[in-house]
Amino acid sequence: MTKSRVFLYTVFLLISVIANSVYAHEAHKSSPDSKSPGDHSQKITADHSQFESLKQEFDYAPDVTAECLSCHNQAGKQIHKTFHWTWGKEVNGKKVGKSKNAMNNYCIAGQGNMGMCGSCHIGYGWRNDDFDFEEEENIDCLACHDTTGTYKKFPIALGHPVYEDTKFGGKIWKKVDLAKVAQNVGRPKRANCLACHANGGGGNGVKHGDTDMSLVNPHKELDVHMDSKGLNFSCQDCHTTKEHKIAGRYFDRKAFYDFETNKGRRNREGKVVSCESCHGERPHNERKLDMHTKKVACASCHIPKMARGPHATKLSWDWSTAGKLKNGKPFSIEKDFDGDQQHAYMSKKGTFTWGRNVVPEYRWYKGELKQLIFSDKIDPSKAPIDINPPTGDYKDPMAKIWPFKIHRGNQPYDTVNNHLLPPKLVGKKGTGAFWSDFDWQASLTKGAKSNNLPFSGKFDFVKTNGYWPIKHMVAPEEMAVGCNECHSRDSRLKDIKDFYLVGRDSNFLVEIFGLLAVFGSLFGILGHAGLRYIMNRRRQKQQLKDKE
Amino acid sequence: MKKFIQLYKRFERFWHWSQALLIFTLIATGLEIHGLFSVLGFGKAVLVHNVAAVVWSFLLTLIFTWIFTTGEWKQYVPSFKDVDNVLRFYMYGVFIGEDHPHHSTPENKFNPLQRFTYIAVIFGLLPLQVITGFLFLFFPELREMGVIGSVDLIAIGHTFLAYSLVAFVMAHVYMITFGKKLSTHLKAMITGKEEL
Repeated sequence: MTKSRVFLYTVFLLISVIANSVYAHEAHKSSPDSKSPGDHSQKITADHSQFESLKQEFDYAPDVTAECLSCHNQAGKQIHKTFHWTWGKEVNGKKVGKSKNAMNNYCIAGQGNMGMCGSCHIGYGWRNDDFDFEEEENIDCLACHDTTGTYKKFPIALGHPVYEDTKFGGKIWKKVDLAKVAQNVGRPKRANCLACHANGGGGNGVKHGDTDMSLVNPHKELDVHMDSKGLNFSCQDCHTTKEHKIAGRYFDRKAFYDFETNKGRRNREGKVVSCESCHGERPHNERKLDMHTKKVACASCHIPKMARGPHATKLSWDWSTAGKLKNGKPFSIEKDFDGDQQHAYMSKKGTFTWGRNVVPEYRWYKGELKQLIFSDKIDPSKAPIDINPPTGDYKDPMAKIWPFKIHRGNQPYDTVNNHLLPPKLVGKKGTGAFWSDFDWQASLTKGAKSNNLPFSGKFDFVKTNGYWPIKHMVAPEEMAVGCNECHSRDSRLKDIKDFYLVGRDSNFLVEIFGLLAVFGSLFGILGHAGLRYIMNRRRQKQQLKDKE
Repeated sequence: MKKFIQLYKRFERFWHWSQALLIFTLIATGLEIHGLFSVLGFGKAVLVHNVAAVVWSFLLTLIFTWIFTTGEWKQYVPSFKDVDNVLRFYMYGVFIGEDHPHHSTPENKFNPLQRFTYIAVIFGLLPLQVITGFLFLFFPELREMGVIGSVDLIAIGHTFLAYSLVAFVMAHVYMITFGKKLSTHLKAMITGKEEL
């Protein structure tokens, strides 16, 4: 008896030791010098409202820039190196960005449409190739450093604010008080970044699926980190900065991979900060969750839906229907999309669909998107064409499953040369601008010309996919995606088929075997038992008869 | 007066019924994890399945220790003696009211068909299911160590064995009705005594 008890205890002890060593995970270390990211008390040593040089009647924004540069004499040189300024970086020997070669499936191309697209450039006066990228006074310091909220870049003024009260789009744009703005400069706030980044693609929330103006003042459910009553993160708490360089993915650099996790942000100024930088790779203190983190990005579970704010995001854009006119005039149709009133059709742009609280799609992703450029050949028979697909697979240790907004487009391409075509959209009547003339032939001819592309004159529309990694609007813990959402036959991960996912996958032959085994046994048993029952009854009757 | 023989020892009955309970739990939660229905939800089903599996592997260790130290293993040695009569009974004799050709004694509890089935199930199917189960459970760690690259063969094997086990359990449950009375074998497995 005692012997077997000792044996039992030994077995228990052994197993618990093994289990402990397996379940154990690294302690959640925090760096000694890491300050709370929500602490935004800045060590400001200058009060700009006291500078004599800023106490003047400015009537032209670049004059403010000149005053900034008179003290901040390195700032211009720093800015000129950033992609916020160049809108393009070298990839495989070619400049790729909004300024050149790259495209998306919203307004398609920047080049040729700078009259409007340029309003988000951190400079003044970018109309065409003549823009002077070397001139420091062309830099718009105020777009990012205004803290009054009164400085707004006018949509069709090449990056300038309005210097006189101006009516546009049914609204009065107030004349900007540049002196007041200049005297109140400071570190960029969420509103500064979001003025451009939330309105890309033509409006609030249109483009990203996880970035809209509601992040200026979000509540906890919308964004657990930026919650203005809670942690109150700024954009720069993750997108750390150094010498005006802001960390984040661009065409020439990866988004996030962090090899030294658990260090906090202090050690990474100017470098990427990912979730793992602060939370580590095993943040759950629970093995069954932590074992996911090698292959599943935090965002996949902790951003349960896209466009979780009040604003819908655009899900598809079909250019092929654009250009219809009523009585010779452009028109638009509005519809309700998940509780948000949005355009379902615009003569200028075509047909749209939108969505709020949309379940994202999932793909392997290594922090880089393979950007298609205009000169790349496409095979229209393989539509939809991936414009900027993520890369990676199950076997790739750098790749994880990430949520994506996949924006479905239908956009013009050259049917002879087989490449995508940039339309000219913005311009006066008679310039070939589609939004004034509604003539595809003219618009594509002009667009191809400003992008130095050949155009055969023949075009059609081809379906395309635009990929937008979802990483903002991280929800509180309790809103995380549940197990069944992926581990089920109706899995969120239905598109990622290169590995066996428990609950979703099965082997066809084994399932057939299972069916045969279970139902074969069942019918065999029922048949055998039935026959036994019938024969038994017959015997009993026979016995009764025999007795009689 | 009825006469009884002691057929199943106390520990034997304990392991039989606790194993039955565990296997039913494992099959039910296993099928849920496999995505065939949703009752507990995937997360809870996994938890119950894993706990039951660890308990079961302890129990199996005890069972094997018991079988090998008590000499009970002799009961499982395959035998062809009488196999034709037993087969004939199930396929014919039972329908015309014949008695079972095999009579259990404490030294020879199993008929030859039982010996074949149990040796395959207890010494083949069950250990394999435990092994594939543990590989499955610790797959993330094994992948990190570079031992296994993907879980699919383990998962598919585990599922195949599970379906086989379901079929065995169904047949096994039906087989208890072949005693003198329908309830004879069930009573024996509960009380340990079988009526002579």
